[in-house]
Order: sequence, then structure tokens, then C-alpha cells
Amino acid sequence: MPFYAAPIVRLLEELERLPGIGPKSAQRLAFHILRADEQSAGRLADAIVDVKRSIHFCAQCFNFAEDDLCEICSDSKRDASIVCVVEEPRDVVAIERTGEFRGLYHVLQGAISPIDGIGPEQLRVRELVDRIGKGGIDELIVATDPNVEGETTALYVARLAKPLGVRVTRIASGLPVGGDLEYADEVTLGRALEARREM
Amino acid sequence: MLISKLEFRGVRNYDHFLVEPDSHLTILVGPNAVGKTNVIEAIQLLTTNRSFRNPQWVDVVKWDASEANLRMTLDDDGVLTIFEMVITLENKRSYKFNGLTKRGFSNIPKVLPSVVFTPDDLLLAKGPAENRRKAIDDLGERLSKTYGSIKRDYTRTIRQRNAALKENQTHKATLQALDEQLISIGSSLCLHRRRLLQRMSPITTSIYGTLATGEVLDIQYESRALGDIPFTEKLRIEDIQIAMFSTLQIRRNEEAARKTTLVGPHRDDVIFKINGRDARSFASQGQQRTIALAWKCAEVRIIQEIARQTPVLLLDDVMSELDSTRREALTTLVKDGVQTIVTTTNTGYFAPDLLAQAKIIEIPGRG
Ligand SMILES: [Zn+2]
Repeated sequence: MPFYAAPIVRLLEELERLPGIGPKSAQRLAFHILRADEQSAGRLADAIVDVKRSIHFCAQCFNFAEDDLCEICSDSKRDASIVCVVEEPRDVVAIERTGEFRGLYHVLQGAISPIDGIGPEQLRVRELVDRIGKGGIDELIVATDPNVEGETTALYVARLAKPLGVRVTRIASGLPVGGDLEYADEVTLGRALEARREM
Repeated sequence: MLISKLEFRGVRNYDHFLVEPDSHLTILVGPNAVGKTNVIEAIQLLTTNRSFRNPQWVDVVKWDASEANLRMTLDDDGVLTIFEMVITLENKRSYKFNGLTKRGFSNIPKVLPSVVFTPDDLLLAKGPAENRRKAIDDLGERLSKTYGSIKRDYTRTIRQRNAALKENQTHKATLQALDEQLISIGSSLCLHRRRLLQRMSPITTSIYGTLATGEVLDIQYESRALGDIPFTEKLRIEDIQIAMFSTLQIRRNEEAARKTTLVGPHRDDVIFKINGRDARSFASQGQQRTIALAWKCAEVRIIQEIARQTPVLLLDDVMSELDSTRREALTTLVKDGVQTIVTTTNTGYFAPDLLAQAKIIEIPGRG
């Protein structure tokens, strides 16, 4: 690694912290920023700061939100009796794109993975139980990823929710085995929602 | 389907390697340590996307190359297809089929199966149980994508469950969910393994019988959960689930103490018995070799049966380990139309009539 001025080194270090960015990509991004005019560099910096200041987690479903409640939770036309449990906000986007689901969501913000030290306490599971406790939820559709961690999380959620008198279903196969929900095409996902099975 | 051309660039010790294999037998001959095995590995990579050496993929790239490029032309009754694999210095593999990029090996529309036989495989009968589990699972993965994904999910489940057992207090509730996972995927792997072994068993024992007259080989599946249930019995998945569930209850304390998963197909074994005696303890070196050979020949047959394709047979330096009767068994496959690529230090291991028809490629020593 050649020697760079301190500010460049700092930028490289920060860029390398980003997921999927190795030393080579970090250099490419850094040089792009260096070559760009000050205004566009400013816009990038502002966008980063702005997103951190204005976006937080929805108080009810833990999806990204600008206000206290996200757009989906504050939409009175949505069916509040059905809640779809997903791992990440990107899964909400994937399911919304199908246009097949009119209920609400609950974003766990991850999946159970003891290897990574992630148990139910690190996820928004307690909040889900509280939400069920407030009443009005008849069915949980568990749409965690169809991999080992997603299945384990689904089993865990089912064990927790069923004694509370809620119907728990799991979206059926039709998703690529071992794949992430994110990559499932919209048609497959729509069908998977229709053909959910009782847990 | 046959391999009609192989071309490697920047692979292991080769800047460039090109060969047009014979439709029957190709012999790569040369002294030790000149990279003959690298050719076998490259063909295994192109046919199964894996290597018996289990390398870091970047290790396959020649030290001074920017990437490894492996290319194979397949001839399916005159229809030619080209499959290409590139391995980068970032440890990534990418694939092209007829020039089109494909995401993942599993998206390649036409794949030629292979059977690889290396000196390590000779330890099948007497080596650790892991060798035998791997032998049957590797075969299953080559025959079925479902088998492969069950195996991957199972391995992952065991890793997650072992991690949870190590942090028993914090993960108590997680462990219950992982128990369900273990039983669900574990019973499925157990069922698939037994099914495949039930098909492999008669073929392997019959080949063994022709190689070692007067000896009877018997194959069994040993599983603590299934106990004395005979291997040949057809089980339903529910039967295995119940057996695993009750064994899990019995061994719960032991698992908690040892902090590792003790129940499931990752602890099972495949048992070879010769005239009723367990090969793990009693097989002579000759008998071990015959078992390994019979197993490999049976792999060829079962791939023909199930995948309805004749695999390419890759023999890495095993001829010197086998006596003439056993070598004959392998060359019978060649005569039966199995495309075979062999590495050896000495062509003297082959019968003259076979040599006369073979394509012999000299791999010169270095320097
Ligand atoms: Zn919300």
C-alpha cells in the first residue's frame, strides 16, 4: 500500500468498513470522490448524514420510518389482523412489490444465529410478543429466509406465538432452496404467500 | 457424452495445458510431482465444481497468473458445448456455458458427471467414519440437488446447534428450535443416505464378489438413533424423526456436558463386513483396496442408472496400488465405454492390448 495523505487514509478506512468493499474497491471509490467537484462530494456527505438523522425504526414494526410510525403502519386501509414477520426491511420491499399482501409487517432485524452470537434477545422478538399481547392480531405469516437461520427463527417465533392464541403460518416453498428471500422473483414470492402452511 | 477437449490456463503449475482426450482411455504418464494430479483436479472441478484436495480456490491459480481459466468441450453425440470456469485471486469462481455467464454451477444446463479415484480413497473401509460418510454424501450430491441442499443445511444446523450448546444458558430457547431443525433435516439426510446406500450396496457387493472369489461383502448403515433396525428395511421419515427425538432426550445431559451435538447422521457410519467380520478392524490391505475399488466401480454404475449418463472416470495414480486382477476391473470399465483419464508413472501397469488403443500423453519432468 503506497503512502497517502492522512485524510485519504481516513476515507479509505471508512470505505473499507462498508459491506462488500475491499481495499481495491475502496481505492476506486476514494479516487472517484477526489476527482469529483466539491459540490457532489458535499451532496454525498449530506445524504449520509441526512439518512441517519431523519430515518429511524418504526415504533410498531421496526421497519425504516421517517415518522414515529412507518407508512405501512399508519395506512388505515391495511389489514392490522395479519402480520408478516420478516428478517430485514429489504424483505418488506420485496413483498410489497408483489402487491399481494395487505396486512402489516414485523421486522425482526435479523435471524437467530448462535454462530454469530445472535439470539432472540438481539432481535425484535420481545416487541413482537408485546404487539400480540395488545390484541387485534389473528395471524402471523412467518416469511423469514428459507435457510437454516430463517427456519430456526420461524420455529422459535411459532413456539412463542401459538400459546398466545395466534394462528401461525409459514410461507411455503417455491423459493429457491437455500436462497435468500431478497433474490426470489416477485411471481414466486406472490405464489409463496398464497400457499402458506400452518406451523 | 464425452470430453473432447480440455484447456487450462494459469492452473496450478500450468501456464497452458491442452489435451484432446481419447473417447476411451487417456494416459498421462510422467515422473512424480510434475503436476499430473493437477489435471485430474481440474477435470473434477469442471465436472463437479469441487476438488478432492479441498483447496482455497485461489490456490488453484498459478502463482504468477492473474486468474485460472479452465475450459472443457463436451461432445454429446456430435452436439458440442463449451463449459468454462474462471477462478480469481479473490477466491471467486465464475462460470460460462457456451459463452454465456451463468450464476452458480447449479445453473449449468449440461454437466458431465465424474468419478474420481485417488490413493486417499483406498482408506475407505478402514479410515475414519468421516471418510465413509463423505463417500456416500459426495455421491448423493453429484446425483441430486436436493441431497446436496439437505447436506449443506444439515452441516449448517450442526454448526449452529453446537454454538448454541456452548452458550447453553443464553440459548436455551433457541436450542429448542434447533432441536426441531436437527430432527427435521437430520432425518431427511438419514433417509436419503440410507436410500442411496441401499442401491449402492448390491452393486458394490456383487463387484466385490467377482474380484475376491470366496469372500462375501456385506454393507450396513450404523446409526445410534436407529439401533438394530436392519439396514435393508424401508423406513418412513416419521420413523426416523421419532427415533432421533427419543435418542435426543436420552442423550440430552451428555450433550450439555460435552457441548456438542451427539445425535444425528453426522455420527453415523457405513459398515463393510467381509465374511461377517467388520472391515474397520479386520480387513487386510488387499481387502481394503478391493472394497475401495468395488465402491468406485459401483459409483460409475449407479450414476449410469440414476443420472442415465456415463460418468468420466478419473484415476489418479491408483494403478500402482492395485494388483493385476484389480487393475483388470478398472480396465473392464474402459472396455464398456466409460471415458477414462488416468495418471501414472509407468505405462507398464496397462495390458498391451489396452495400451495399443490408448492415447498416451507424456508429461515431462521439470527442468
Ligand atoms: Zn411500521
